[in-house]
Amino acid sequence: VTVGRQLPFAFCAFLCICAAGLRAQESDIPPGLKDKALSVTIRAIVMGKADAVAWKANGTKATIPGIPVGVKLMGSNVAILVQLTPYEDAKGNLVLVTQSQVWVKRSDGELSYFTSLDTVNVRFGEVVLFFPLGRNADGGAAMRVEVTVDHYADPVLAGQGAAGK
Amino acid sequence: METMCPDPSLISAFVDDEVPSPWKERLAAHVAACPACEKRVRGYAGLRQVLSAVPAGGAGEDEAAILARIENRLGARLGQRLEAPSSLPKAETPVRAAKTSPLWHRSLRLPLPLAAAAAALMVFLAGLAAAGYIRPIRPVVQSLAAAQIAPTAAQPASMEALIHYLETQDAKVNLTIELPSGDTLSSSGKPLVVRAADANYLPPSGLDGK
Repeated sequence: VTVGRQLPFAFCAFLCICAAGLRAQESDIPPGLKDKALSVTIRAIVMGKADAVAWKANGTKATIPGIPVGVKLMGSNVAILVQLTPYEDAKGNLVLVTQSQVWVKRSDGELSYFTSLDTVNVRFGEVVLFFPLGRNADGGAAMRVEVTVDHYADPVLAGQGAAGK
Repeated sequence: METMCPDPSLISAFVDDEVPSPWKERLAAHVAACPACEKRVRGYAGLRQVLSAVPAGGAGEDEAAILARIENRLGARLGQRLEAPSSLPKAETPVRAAKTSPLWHRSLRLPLPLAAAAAALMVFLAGLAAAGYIRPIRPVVQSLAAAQIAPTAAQPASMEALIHYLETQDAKVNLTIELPSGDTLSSSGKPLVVRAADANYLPPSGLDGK
């Protein structure tokens, strides 16, 4: 047996392990609840001068109604912990509950701690803006987090649907 | 023994001398002993006198003219001046009566189609309320709590201690985002949540939206 013959199998095994790791989050949702699952998309944006986007990062997590998605944003002088809990009633109305802890180290070295709890009636796919550091009088903000809740689309089922077309 | 007062229609018939014996005598005895019925008899008798004094119309006189004459006579008896001429048709009589009676004694007369439409509207709204389509107005965003808490000595005073503190919390973190290093962010106030549609939201410019 030569090393050259083993390489394709090892590469395939590596790909399988990576794919299993990518789907580890979705596997947390019980199979019977996947049709009720929701995807929570978080988009953190740091604004620069003239209200231009200086930095951004995205992330999507799957959950089911009532189970919070915890997001931690860590910066050099801020630490933000947000719990986003979507709720869906029997009629399909969506409520997003946001609970936040915001720690800010000011320039004088003192720490400020803010906490908030909000409920928002939203539609699926609608963007909700969370300003962890508040907003200026003119409406601007140093940072914002855009949150979108949508129906969860199983990648396997979506792939089968796409293949069937 | 206390006897029950007779029906007003029976008293009206008694005043018109339409009640036969022996009920007529029994009614007369009751009226003589009952101040309320005696007062009612006097009222009916007065009304009968007024109506009998209305001059008779011709053979072709219609109902509106007869009612107008009766109203005229009653108005003169009560010392009231009626604003409109007495030749108004019957349909306007309740309006004039409403002007002279207290608000809580007024009655409202509606045409049948209007009353039916109002009833249908009430049934429709009741159906909507029962089906849950009508709900009390509630704000889209409810800020249940937002506060700034000044850390004390017992709480972490450095970012390293704060990170350690957050890690020891039971709150599950599914997603960790590292903000750009070197940038110092300042707080403008309490955390705030708004719907993008309510915040004059504009997509960020300068970078790809995806």
